[in-house]
Amino acid sequence: MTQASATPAVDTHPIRLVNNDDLKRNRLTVFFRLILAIPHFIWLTVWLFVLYVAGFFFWLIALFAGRLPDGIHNFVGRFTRYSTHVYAYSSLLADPFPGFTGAEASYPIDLQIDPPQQQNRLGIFFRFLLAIPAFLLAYILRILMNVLAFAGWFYALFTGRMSEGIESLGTYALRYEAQTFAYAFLLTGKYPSLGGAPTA
Amino acid sequence: MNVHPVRFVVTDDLRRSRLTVFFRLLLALPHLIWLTLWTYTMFIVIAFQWLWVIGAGHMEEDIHRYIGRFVRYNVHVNAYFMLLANPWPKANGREGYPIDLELDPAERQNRLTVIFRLILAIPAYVFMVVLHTVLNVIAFLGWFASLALGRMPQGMRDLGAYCLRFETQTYAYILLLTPRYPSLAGSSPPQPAVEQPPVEQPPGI
Repeated sequence: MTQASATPAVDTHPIRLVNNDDLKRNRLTVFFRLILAIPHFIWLTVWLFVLYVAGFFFWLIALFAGRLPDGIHNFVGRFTRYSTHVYAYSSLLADPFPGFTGAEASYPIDLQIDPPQQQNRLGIFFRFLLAIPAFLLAYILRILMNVLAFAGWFYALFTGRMSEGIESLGTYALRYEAQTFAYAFLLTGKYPSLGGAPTA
Repeated sequence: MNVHPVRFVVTDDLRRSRLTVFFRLLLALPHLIWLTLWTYTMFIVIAFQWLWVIGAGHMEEDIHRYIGRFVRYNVHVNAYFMLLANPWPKANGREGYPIDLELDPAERQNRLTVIFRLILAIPAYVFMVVLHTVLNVIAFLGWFASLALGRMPQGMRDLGAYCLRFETQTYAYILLLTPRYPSLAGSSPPQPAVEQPPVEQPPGI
């Protein structure tokens, strides 16, 4: 078992990634992983579309209330967790086929999300602008994750398990991406953290 | 965990001088020129060493140290250039920089892997290119952060050091310093031996 959230800086972030993966991989599902993930990609796209449309109203509500209401927070949180499950599955960072609901503690690579907290309204108003540096990093880390998944595909096919180095770097990138999304979609006022990087 | 023969030692305190951060590109220029010149000479050295290691199965200790210094200098210059450390590095690649390289002595290598070293290094090289892009983005964002805060955020420094460490292990592998493949896992330096308290002898023995 590996732990992605290792440092206090990461542990105290309201969006935390929990890694309970045992590194074992089923060669057959690894071989067909991209095909198997297609239903999830379709469902993820539909969900994301709804979120983009509703996102503007969520932003207005948060701007007035200073935070997301509990129901909306749970909805966006579930989507963020679901996308983490799907990307963990498609990037070979975990083995089981994920559920479609984004329920907590339902997948080996999971996301813990703290309840909504009061946020600075100015921060909410300029949220998308403020998130640009984080998006830039998340984009680069997404490319890194794709390269890791490509190499990991061969590794997992040959050995029947995932390399620990690929897994730790991949979950690090995935966690940063989830925190960026959570920040952009107002789940938290805390900026994504680069802490918890694998040691040099 | 089996310790990698090419390791990083990070003693940087995260503090940055705003003035040298602002002019970092300019200040690094002499080092970049010297590094380029040194790199040109290394092509010839490595071509000969490749033949030598195929014949002898290992690298001579002196030449191993020399190539090691080149790789260490590359670490120092990149660490300075990418804002992973603050002091102006020395031009000789000796140990003592806040982002430093620890290198184990030369060891025997499998001749077949030496012959095909460049081909074997391709996957690591691909990773290295991606991680170098990450490092560039870190340096770009770190420039603003260091100017604003007077310090480099630890997360940025750590991720940057990780990328540079993988890059260095890839170079070390290609330049025949080690037969060990670059590792994506952390390469913590060996822990100092913990001093054991003296064992009290029972009386009468």
